[in-house]
Amino acid sequence: MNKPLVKTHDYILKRNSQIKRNISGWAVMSPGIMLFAFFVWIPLLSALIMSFTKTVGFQIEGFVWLDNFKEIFADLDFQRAFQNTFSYLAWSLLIGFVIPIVIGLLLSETIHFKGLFRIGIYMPSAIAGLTIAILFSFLFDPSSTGFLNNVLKWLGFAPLSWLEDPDLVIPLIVVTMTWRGAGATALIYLSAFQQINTNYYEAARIDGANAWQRITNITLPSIIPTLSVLFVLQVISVMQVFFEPFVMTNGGGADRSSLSLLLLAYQYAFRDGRADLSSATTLILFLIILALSLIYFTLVGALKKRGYKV
Amino acid sequence: MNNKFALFCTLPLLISLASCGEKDERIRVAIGMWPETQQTQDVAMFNIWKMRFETDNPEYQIVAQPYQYDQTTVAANAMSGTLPTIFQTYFTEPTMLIKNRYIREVTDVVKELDYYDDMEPSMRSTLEDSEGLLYGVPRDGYGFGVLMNLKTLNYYGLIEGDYTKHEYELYDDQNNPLYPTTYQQLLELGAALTEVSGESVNGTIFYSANRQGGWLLSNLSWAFGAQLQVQQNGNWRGNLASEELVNTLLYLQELKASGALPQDKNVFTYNDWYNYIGSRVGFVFAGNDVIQNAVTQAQIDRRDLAFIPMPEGPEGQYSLYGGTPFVFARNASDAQVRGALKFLEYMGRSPKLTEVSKLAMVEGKETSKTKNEPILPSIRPWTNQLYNSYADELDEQYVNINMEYFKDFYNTIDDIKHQEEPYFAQEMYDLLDQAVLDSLRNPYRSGEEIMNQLVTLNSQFNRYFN
Repeated sequence: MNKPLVKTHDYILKRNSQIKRNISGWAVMSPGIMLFAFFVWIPLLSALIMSFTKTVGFQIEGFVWLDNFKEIFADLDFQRAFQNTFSYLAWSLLIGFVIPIVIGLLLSETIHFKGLFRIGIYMPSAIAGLTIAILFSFLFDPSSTGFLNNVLKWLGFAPLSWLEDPDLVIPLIVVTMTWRGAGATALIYLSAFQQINTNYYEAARIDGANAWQRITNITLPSIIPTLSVLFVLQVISVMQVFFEPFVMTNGGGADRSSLSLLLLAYQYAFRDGRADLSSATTLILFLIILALSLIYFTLVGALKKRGYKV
Repeated sequence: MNNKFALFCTLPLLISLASCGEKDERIRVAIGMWPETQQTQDVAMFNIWKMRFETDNPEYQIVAQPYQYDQTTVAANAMSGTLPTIFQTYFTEPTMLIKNRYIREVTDVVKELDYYDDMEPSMRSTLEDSEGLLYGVPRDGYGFGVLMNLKTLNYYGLIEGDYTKHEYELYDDQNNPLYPTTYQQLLELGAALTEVSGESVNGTIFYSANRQGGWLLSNLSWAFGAQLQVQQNGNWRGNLASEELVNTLLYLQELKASGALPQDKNVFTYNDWYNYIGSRVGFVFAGNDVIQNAVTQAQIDRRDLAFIPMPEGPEGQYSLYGGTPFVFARNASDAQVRGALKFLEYMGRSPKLTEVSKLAMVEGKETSKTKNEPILPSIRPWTNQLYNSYADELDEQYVNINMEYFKDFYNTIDDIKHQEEPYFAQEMYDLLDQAVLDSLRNPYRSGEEIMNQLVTLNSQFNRYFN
């Protein structure tokens, strides 16, 4: 009878000391948890609930289950925004993914004024995104007083419609985003390039490899882990494009040529007072990003299994 | 030690109890149209009105809460209860504010103060919901017209006169207008201006984004005979796919093809007009309530401005008309609303003509005069004859624009006024923006192509009615 009592006593003491230890841990964590709960989890949960309800303003009136989703799928604006968001993604991978790698490579090859170039390249990232969007709106002004149209005129070319051209608007917005973000990304690539063992390059040179062969056979394979992380971050970031089309095209353009899903969610909520449709749109966007991320991680996992260094 | 500790612990309690005694028991009324701090002359005037009001109504405390209405933040302000008791909004907003319950209804209090029957009926209807409940009071009215830069038009020889003396001839010997009175004449004037200026100045701009294209197009379409919403078997439906609306868009395309509109840019919003009227276009479509921006933003001499009625189309002459409203926070109590409405009298903005309201009206004009602002007549929001006669008297005394160039607008507005379409107007404008932009981009579209687009837009629009 005594033995178990001693055991229980030890157990209680141990548990009490664990609790004591944990209390201090929880006390340290609690402000962070509360902030997270208040600013992230509660809004996330509210949005999830709202997407299945009918709202008046931001107040829930009752559950409508999938009606909001049916409504947005029937909305031509949603269909257009859906297409546009993937168009942003495609252009961003074409322009925005490649350019930082090229800049990073050029920087790594630079011998003189390296610090100056690094600062110069990073400078746009230090400017507020909104300022850049407004600045590029002036550059891309389609009127005769627009900066680029004046350059074209001076060079003897016909003016362009720039942001008013439905075929050009998304690539131009992606150019703006790239101009702002490429420098910071290029520095990450530069850091990755500098970690490559220089012996590989020396060996390649001895074997007679030219610059292109060195890049494709040594440089790029060596930075695949960095490439893959920045790739997934870029996908997530571009899928959430918002303020550039908002500022540069008067809220997505009258013809919706630059309307993105997040911008549409904003318009549903704050222009139309439809928090329910807005929440449903953001939930769909979340699911798309989740699906893309899952595809990425599945591919990476499969490649790792086959022995690739990813 | 213990006593000291006890005293230390009870000190905050004692302080809070002492401060309870100083708590202001008065009813707090936050005024959203209170001017910003840097507008010192206006602030001084409001402070005088506050002092008078609080002296006459000691149960109230007037609190300055300058509030610039913003569509993107109004929801958060409304939900968190931080909107001022009374604030001013744009004439396009009440429907959305009412639908989302961001503002409160004030029918009984307005009736109790005898403001209700003095309200201009068509303005009142724009502030009521489908059940006839009232959600605000009008500050003043607005109507669409054409604002002309007479100096530009005279400089290029399209209006007689002498811009160096700010003198222009807008009427012939028989007092017939020499300015454009039909849409066709407006088009010809615009095209001529573009031509004679060597394309350095265009006739006008046509709004095409932010729902303002549809907004302006709806005004034009009435003159072409369009009925954008109709009743079928007792139910309202969209009627965008009509020959009349096709004709309106064909007119817009003609306006573009003739050169009256800029050829290199198609996307314009309502905020663009004061960036263009200074030197880039001869005239713009605008509401009378924003004309002062031509002076304050575009730096045009007020003597070089004319504001003429919307032109006549094949099926009539119409001017979009409504009221700029004061509305009330959803959490405001009846007593607060009563105080806010009474304060309007001390601002000279209620229908009550009392000594205090007369004084405020004069002070308002004097302040504008001191600031050298253009003083224009307003469209009266109230039907009280005494009030309106006194306002007319003050207009005669203080208006500092040449009324010869404005009189036809004010004389005709009552005959040609047309209210916004009754249902889902903003959603309709949003859809019509697309038709406007496509017409501006491709001014050679056929009527059939336009009709095909309108059929699609109409079916989208009718989803709202379903």
